[in-house]
Parts: sequence; structure tokens; C-alpha cells
Amino acid sequence: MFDYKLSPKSPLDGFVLEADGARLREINGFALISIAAPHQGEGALKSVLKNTLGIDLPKPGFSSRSETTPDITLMSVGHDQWFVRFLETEKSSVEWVADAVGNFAAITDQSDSWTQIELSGISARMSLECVLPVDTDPSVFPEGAVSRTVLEHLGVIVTRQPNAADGGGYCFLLLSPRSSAKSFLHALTGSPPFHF
Amino acid sequence: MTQKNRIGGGLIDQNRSVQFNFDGRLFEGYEGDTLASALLANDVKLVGRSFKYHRPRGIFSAGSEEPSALVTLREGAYSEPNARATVTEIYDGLSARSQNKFGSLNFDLMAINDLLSPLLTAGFYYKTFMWPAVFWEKVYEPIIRQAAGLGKLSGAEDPDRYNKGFLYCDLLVIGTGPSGLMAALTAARAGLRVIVADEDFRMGGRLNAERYEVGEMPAADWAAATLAEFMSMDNVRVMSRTTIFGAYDHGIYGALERVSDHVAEGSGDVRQIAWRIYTKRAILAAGSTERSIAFGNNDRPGVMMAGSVRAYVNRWGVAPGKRVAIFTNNDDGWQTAYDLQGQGVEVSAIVDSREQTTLLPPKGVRVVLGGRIVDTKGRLGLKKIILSDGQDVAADCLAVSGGWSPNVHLTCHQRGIPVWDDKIVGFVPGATLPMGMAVAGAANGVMTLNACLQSGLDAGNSVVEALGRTVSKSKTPKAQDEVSAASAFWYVNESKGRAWLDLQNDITAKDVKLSYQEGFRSVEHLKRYTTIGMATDQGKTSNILGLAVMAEISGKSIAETGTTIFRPPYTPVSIAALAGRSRGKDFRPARLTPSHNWAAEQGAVFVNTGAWRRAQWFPKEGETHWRQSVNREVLATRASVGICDVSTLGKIDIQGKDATDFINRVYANAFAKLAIGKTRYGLMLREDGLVMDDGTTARLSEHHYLMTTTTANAVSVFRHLEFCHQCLWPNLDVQLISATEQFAQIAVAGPNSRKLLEKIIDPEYDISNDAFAFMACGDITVCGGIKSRLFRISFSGELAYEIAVPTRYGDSLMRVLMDAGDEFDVTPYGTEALGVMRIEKGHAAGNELNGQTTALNLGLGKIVSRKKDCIGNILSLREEMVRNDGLRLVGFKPVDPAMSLNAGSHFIGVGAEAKTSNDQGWMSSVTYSPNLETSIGLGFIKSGDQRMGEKVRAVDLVNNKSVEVEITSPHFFDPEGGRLRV
Amino acid sequence: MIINHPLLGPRDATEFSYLGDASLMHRPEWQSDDAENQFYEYQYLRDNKAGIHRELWYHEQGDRSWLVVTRNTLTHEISSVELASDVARREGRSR
Repeated sequence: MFDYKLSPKSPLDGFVLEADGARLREINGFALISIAAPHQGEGALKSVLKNTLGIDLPKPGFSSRSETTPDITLMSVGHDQWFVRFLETEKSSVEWVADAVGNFAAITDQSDSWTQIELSGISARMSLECVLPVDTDPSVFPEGAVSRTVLEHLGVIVTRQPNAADGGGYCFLLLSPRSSAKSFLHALTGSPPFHF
Repeated sequence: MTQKNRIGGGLIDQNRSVQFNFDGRLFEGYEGDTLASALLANDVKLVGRSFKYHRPRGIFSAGSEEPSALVTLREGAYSEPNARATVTEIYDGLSARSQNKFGSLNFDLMAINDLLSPLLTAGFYYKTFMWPAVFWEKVYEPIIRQAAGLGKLSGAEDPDRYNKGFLYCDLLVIGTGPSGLMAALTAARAGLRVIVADEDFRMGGRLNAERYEVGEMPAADWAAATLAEFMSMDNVRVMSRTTIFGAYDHGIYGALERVSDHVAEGSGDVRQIAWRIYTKRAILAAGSTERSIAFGNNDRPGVMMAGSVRAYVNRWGVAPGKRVAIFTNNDDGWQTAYDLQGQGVEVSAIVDSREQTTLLPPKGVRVVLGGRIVDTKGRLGLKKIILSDGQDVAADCLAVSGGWSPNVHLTCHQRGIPVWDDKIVGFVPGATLPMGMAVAGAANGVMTLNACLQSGLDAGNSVVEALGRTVSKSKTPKAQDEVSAASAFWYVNESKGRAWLDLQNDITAKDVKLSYQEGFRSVEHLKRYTTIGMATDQGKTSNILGLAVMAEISGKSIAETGTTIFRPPYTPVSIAALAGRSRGKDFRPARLTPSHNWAAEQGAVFVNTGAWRRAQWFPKEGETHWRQSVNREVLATRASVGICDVSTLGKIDIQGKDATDFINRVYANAFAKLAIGKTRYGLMLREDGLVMDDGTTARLSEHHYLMTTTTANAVSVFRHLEFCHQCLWPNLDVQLISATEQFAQIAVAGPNSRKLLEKIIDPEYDISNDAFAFMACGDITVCGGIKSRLFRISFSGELAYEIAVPTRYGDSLMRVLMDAGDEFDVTPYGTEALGVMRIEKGHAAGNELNGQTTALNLGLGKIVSRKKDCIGNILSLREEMVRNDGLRLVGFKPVDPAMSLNAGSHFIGVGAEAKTSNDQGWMSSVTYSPNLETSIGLGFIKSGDQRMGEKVRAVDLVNNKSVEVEITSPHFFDPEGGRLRV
Repeated sequence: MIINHPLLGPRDATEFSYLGDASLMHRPEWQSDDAENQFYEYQYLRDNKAGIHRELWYHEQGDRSWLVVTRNTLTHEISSVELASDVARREGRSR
């Protein structure tokens, strides 16, 4: 028994908003662990990831998905850097990744650094047009594409996820720094079709 | 409510009546009308008063080039001044008002300015309102502002909403006349992603205004069918009511979409969107604009552009007059007569400035070749025109055509310079175009229908080919080329009365002559001296007349005279649209600390530090002055324990086999031998030897460090480290990532800080002084297994720690510390108390690390290592930077302890005069120290370290204050540092 | 402006921050005989070209790459974009 207990708080208190053809919702429970390749170590990192997690090191501007555990994705976020994203468990997320990649990468926990928001629906692209300087046309931004850019003065990492199975349209995951999550949300909800 | 000038036909829906209000009177128009077409239909010709002379003004054109029919739309906070009636769509309930009148529009009291016009010529302001200078703001400006200017802003906050956005395409087609539609169709059918934009609400350009046939159907029908095809294609985005206002670097275009200007106010829709359009290619098919001819009293209501008269007749089914005369210098003007006659409108004369023509005179119309109009009559509207031979012709509308000028504006936005083309008598785009842009149709000097279609097809095919698609063999639809001979004739020299060039700025041919006389002869000088071509129309109908007059006076050709440069925007763009949603508190994003909600619940006062909102102090009930709250927070912290959210400090995670080496090179002090589990103060220099930033860096493991930066420099230090790594030492094995957002970090300071922490840290971790000494760091767990980091560092000078937990627990940690600290009367403190304690300890902060100070200035000269290569090391050794008598950071106390100090005061010797040559330094930070019960300050003074005990004056000339102060050590409180190490 | 990032393709210039002349990569050797003079020139003396200019841009709101961009300062035409780390290695910079 401990006298004092710490309880976690999400950046946006589980925000959800729906409007014509689009839904915004805060996503919680996914770890984000940065892995960076050591100098001249990308090749080794690539093989260890393939062996342990069944995942390819994605090209710049893309993400990849584990063949063995589809819940694990790897997003390219820098020239020598990737984010591993997976459902958090009881076990420490950093240790979980460390077990997988060992000494082949510098590992840094980023799970609390970002607010994670999913924007989905048939109007999702129209909504992003008003804030995001990224061409989200499927011909140039296919499933798995990742772009790191700036949205209303805030850094953002956007990735296209698989479309909703029921024909519900496009699905985007947006990551933005946690401290400015409210301003980020304001930017998103000010766009059509929300006009919040 | 009769629309007495409505002749029927056109592209309006006569089954849909629209009621609107102009100057308090109710009128009827139809859906598809502009305010101008509806007013003309209702025989309203006088719509405003001119800018300077308050002359009666009517509707001059039928498009965005309108210089004259400017009105104020809507009421109250929604009102919008200087809107062009010619592009304003009417809707039920629209209200519009004429502008710039004193009294009624028919009898404007300020029309007296017109009689004073000899005094009000170009350059009038420059010459008249010169002396005395004290009159500028108080007397002259109010007079000028009252008399001149057009509509007025409401002064109320804009209640509308605006947006911004980003679009991407292979091809942007600007303009939807014959060439634009043809180009877009060609590219769209080849599968390219095309955006088609037009400023008009009905797309089709001149196809809607003329009686052409295209593809064996009326041209407007062909335009509609083509647009319908676009609408059915996924790869085409059709944007009507969208003005491409600027061409920027590398194929980026600015566009303003007027989303809901045509529906009643208060609809809740976004009003306008400012788009940034990224293109691979663009085709400018913006067409051409008809220009005027200057002659005596050519500004009367009823004098209009000939092509606009045709537009009113053909597109809007409105006859702008009952008896129309035509004044032209080209073939195209004659078409006006044919179209008017075809609709049964009387044409009283065609006056052609040319001596001969092969055109057939319309039946029953008087034709005057080599004709000149020298004057017009009619007080508030045209009644007749006077020819140079003294004869007059009855007309209530005069259609003037001075030829057509290609709309080259966007070709100039990247320094392109238009060139004169004698054949079309106009400027055409020069050889240098913005990257990726091609020009088609009339904008490129192609002035006839069939040729425009071909030009559009060719331009479209070029893009298709350049972007690697298959060019089809399709041809243009069938169409004719109309007669189009043009001539250079600009103004009637023998005019009686003033010949107006620029109706928006009231500029006459005489003003241009005056400009020449006074030496303002280049076109750019002419523009600024006379203001010709300024304001909302940017001289679209008038510029070339000014150039022609100037060319003639100076004995040069127009080509030699040149044209002024066109800059964005093509037509006015409201600031609100450019701001989008970034208004009020959303002007810029805010960063909130992990404990923000908790602090707000405590009633904290917040301060902006960069984008961060930080708690400045926490007022308690009964405290009436912030100083009381801050003193209490300081005293309580030093007496027992205080807590403060310091998460805003930049945190950079540094890993790699060469991390130690890297850190040792970016810090000026020694870092090669920092033990694992220890933290050290680091001083970072710029390469020029001045201080960039400071902070503490902890060694977490063999190859893993955590560096902290000041809040303000978090971003720039990270950028600098990446520069050092990638550009200077690319083969070092170092990985950097910002960890600022990852941790909620809370300072726990004061004699009871350890006792407080021991209550929440899991029992297996020993943080006693022996086990966890000053400057120790390590991973711990708190509250039953939550992973945390603990640093024994102190900014306050007390026994102190900073504890970092994953941000998600930050809010909770603050509450737990308050709860657990209850027995010690734990006190939250804000940035003010933090500042007081750091000044009491003599720590440098932002005021001292101001980009102008060296390590030596700061009293840190000794820690700069001379034995290693590090950024800034070499240049910090320059003679001037290591002088013995340089500035040193020291402390200052008022000799009279009751006196307060001002930051920014300069130090002057006692008895010396307060002047620059006696200046010895400045006070950088001051505070009231509740521990010392006096004001104290930090400051830089020459040789300060050798002058302890000396007295000088701290002089603040801004506040007229001089305080005698004593130079002391900067370490005011616990100078031995004993409290840190207990 | 658009900068054609060697890894990520065309990116808007708003994602970048600008440093200046790419000669800033040529940091002198600290132990050379006239180090102070060399550092002085490195720090303060730059060409200010009207025309082709090699300059450093940082993809701050992107992948954090430093880039060497060759740009015509008169027309803004960008003729080459390279990773600064590649350029640095090619020019012999190592550790």
C-alpha cells in the first residue's frame, strides 16, 4: 500500500467530436518510442527489426507495419530516426523496445511528448485542406505515408492509416507536441466540417 | 418596382426576384444580377461621389476593374466599404450605400471641392500641408481625412469567420474564358489534376458577355457544358468566386475564395478562404481589360466601357441607356452597336477616332470617322456629347473603347517586365515568366475567339506533354475570329473641360503634365506623385492612359516609357482573410505546463514566456499586491519547502558512443570526466565567443546524457547541436532528440524538500545526503513504481531537487506533492519568486545572457577550458574580450536600504554627470529581497570584481531616478552555499 | 519557396529555418598556428552574392536535416539540394 498515488491524464481528456462525414478523436494507450540508428548502424538496425519484430525499416516519408504483429507500426520521422508505435502494456514500453532492438539503436520514450489525434471520415481530406500543408491526394499520400510538417505554427506528424472497413473514408493520425495540444485541437476543430 | 431598363434575355433567372436596398430605397433585381446590373436595370446611374472632387460618379465597367462604382455593403459590424458594385452579387436583403457624400448623393456639399480644383491638383498635399509641423496631426490630417477618402470602416470587430488552406494540383488554370476553358479541358481529359479558378461567380469570361458561337452553340452554353464536364471529373476542382491574387516563388499561388459573400450576413458560413495553391504548372488565361479614352468630362455617370455595355446587354439583359453613343479607336467598339441594335436599343452615333475603316455602318447609325469627343453635358448623368466640330449628339450612355490591355499582372509578380506590342497596341507578357507559368489567350495578346481557343489548346497540350501524359489529337470546337484592328489613340487634346484618366483617384491629363513639369517623369515617380493607378482598381482601366500622356509630353514611345510593375494582390484581399482563424487569443498557439489546470484552480496569475503560459505567482486571500504573494512564496520556500513547475526548460536527450566527446565540444567548460549519476552546470558559447545559453547536463549512463537549456533557447540550442553534428562533425556517433515534452519536471526546494520527497519516493531509493549528494541524478520510482528521474540541482540556493515524471502524471504529481507537503506548509511558487531567489543567489538568467556578454563578463571566465576544442573557445580569447578592466557581473545594494532599484539604470560615478562618456555599465536585474529586506540588483560594471564596497550612482534617465548603490558580491544570500549541501 | 529535399521531395520553405552561407561548415582547425585569424575570417567574412549562392537550411519542422541549398539569390531558382552531412563528409570533415 502506498500513501500517494499518481493518476495519468491525457492531453485532451479523451476529446471526441463528430460532424458531417468526419470524426476527430483523441487516441490514448499507444506508446511512441523513438529509435535512432547509430553512426553507420542503419543496416544492423534494419536486420534486427526484421528478425525480432518482423518489421521493415520504412523509407523516408513512410511507415511500415509488422508482419507478425500488425498492431506495431514504425514511422519514419527523421533522417536517422523512427517512432515505434504500439499498444502500451503493463511492461515498460522503453524496455519492451530495448528487448527488441538491443544496442542497435538509441531509444527514447516519446509516449508523453505527443498528443495523438485521429481524423477519419469521408470529409477528412477536406478538413485537412484548411490547416495542413500536405498533399493528401491518395496518388501521392497513400496508406502508410508519413509527413512531418507545421500546422498553424505547430509541429505535426501526419500519417495515413488504413481506411475504415465500412467505407467510412480516409483515416489520418496526427501527432503534435503535447503542451500545445489545445491550440492544435483548436486549429483542427476550426476547419470544416467541424467549425467548432 | 419596375426594372425599366430590363430588356430581357441574358444569363439571369427572371423567375427569381431578389429584393435589395440602395441608399434606403428598395429595388428588385434577379438572381444572377450584380448590384451594378440591378441598379442599371432600375435606371439608377448615379452611385457615388469621387474621391477628391466629389464629382458625380456612375458605373463604369462590368468587372473587377471598376474604378468608380464603389459602395458600402451591409450594415453595422458587417459593413464593408469600397466594395465594387460590378462584382457584388445581390441577394435578398442586401443593403448598400453610396459613399463619400455630405448630405444627399444628388446634392453633395463637398462638391465645392470641384470648384476649388485648380488648388487641388496632383502633389497638392505635399505642397500645401507642409508647415508648421505641429499642424500635421492636429489640423491637416483630420481635414484631409474628413474631405477625402471613400467608405468608412465600422470600427466594430469583424463578426465574420475566415479560413486559410492549402491546395495541390498539376495545373492551375487562371481564368475561364475561351482559352482558359480550352486549356483546362485539354489537361483534364489527359488525366492531370487540374484546378480551374475564376474571380466571377459565373464562369466563362467573355463567353458570357458576347454573342459568340462556339461548337455551333451559343458561347455561354459551350462554357456551361464544359464546366459541367469538369464537375463530373474527380481530377478537376472548379473554383468560382476565386481570385488568384498573386504568383509566388516556385509555382505557389495565392487565391481568395469568396465563399459566402453572396448570401445574407450571419449565415454562419466561413466568409472567405485564403488558399495557398501549390502547382506544377499554371496557365494564365486572365483575358484582357478594356481601357478608356480621356476627353472632356468623360467621368459623367452614363459614360462606360464599351465591352461592359455589351456585357450588361448580353449577360444581364439590361440596357445601360435608351440612346447609346459609341466612342472607339478600334474595331471591337463597333460590336457594341451591333449588339445594342440587335436588342432594339437605339444607337445614336459611332464616333471612331480613326480616319477610315472597312467596317459596315449599322443601319441608321450616324458614323463619325476621325471623330473626337471634346465634352459631355448632364449634371448628374450624361445627356449629350459634344464633338470637336461643335456638333452635339444626344446620348444617355456613351460606350467608350480605347482598346484592350492583356491582363499580364501575374506574369510580373516574379520580376517579369511586360513588353509593348504595336500590333495589339498594348503590353504583353515579357520573356521571363514565373516558374511553371504559361500564358494563353488574350492575356498573351491573342485577341480573337478562335485564336484564343487554339491558344488554350496549345498551352494545355504543352503542359500535358511536359508532365508526361499523352497528348490527344483533339481540335478546338468550331468558332470564328472577329475583327479586331486596334489603333493608338489615348486622349482628346482639344478637350473642353478636364479629361479624366483615373476615375478612382481623380487624375486628369493635366495632372500628368504637371508631374512632368515638376520633374517626376519616370513611370514609378508619376504613379507616386499623382497617385494614378493606386487604390482598389490599381489603374486597370487608366494606367496606360497616364503612360501615353507622359510618353507624348516627353516625346518618347510608350514602349520607351515603360510601365509600372504589377505587384500582388491582383484585386484587394482583406486582412481578415489572410489572418484566417489566427485572431484574438488564437493569434498564436499556447503551450501549457503539465500543472496548468492545477495552477489555474489555485488562482495563479500567468505570464507568457515565449509560447508558454507559466504561473507567475499564486495570490492568497487577503493579499492585495503581487509583492506580498511573491515575498511569502520566497520566505516559505527558504523556511521550509516550495514547489514550482519547471517543465518549460528545454531537455535534449543525447546518446551515442561519442556523446561525451560531443558534449565536451559544445560546452565551454570541461565535460569529459562527468561521472555517471552526476549533473554539471554547462556554459555554451557561440562561435564568436559570446554566451549562447547555459543549463545543467546529467550523465544517465555511459553513453546517455540529458541536457537542459533555458526555456527561451530550447529550440535554438537544439538547432545548434544538430548543426554541430551534421555540418561540423558528421562522423561522430551521436543521436539527439528533444525530450522537453516528455517530462513534467517540478522543482522541490527548501530545507524540508528531502523530507517531502521521501514521502513519495519508493522506499528502495535512498536520497540521503550521503547517498544522493549535491549534483547527483538518477532513475527512481515514485508512488509505487512510477518511473521518474531525480536531479539534486538548485536554482534557489536551497537544498533542492528537480523531479521528473512522464508528463501524463504531471498534474497528479503536483497535487500529490501539495498533499504530502501539507505537514511542511509546502508553498507553490511562480516565476517571480523563482526570479527573486536566483537574484539573491547571483545566478545569471535571460537578462544577463543577452547575446552580448562573455563568460568573463559573467564572472565565469575561469570555467572556460583552454585545453580542448569547443565552440567559441578561440574567439573568446580575443584581446577585447579578455581585458582586465572589462564589464563584470556583480551585485548592487542601495546605500539607503529603503530605496528601490530600476533595471536598465546605468552606473555613473558619484558626483559625475549622467552622460554617455561617464557610463560604466548597467543594471540588468533587480528585485526586492524579503530575506535581506532591501532591494538588490545584478549588473555589469567595469572592473566590477575589483571594486567591492565602492559606491556609484544607478541612474535611470527614463524615469528620472538616481540611487546611490554599493558594489557587492552577486551572491547576496548564503554566499558559501552551505544550504545547498546539507 | 519550395525546397526539393533529397529524402522527402518538395517541401515548403516555411518548414525550414535559414542559417546562411554554406562556408559555415568550414570550421577551422583549433590548433593551427593562426587559429584566431582563421576563426575570425570563418566567423565574420562572407560573400554576399547576387547570383548563385550555396547556403544552409535546416528542416526544423521536418526531418531535422541540415541541407546545403544552391540558390540563385536573384531569381530564387534552386539548382541543387544536398544533405549537409553528405557534403561535410565529401569535403573531408569527419569527427
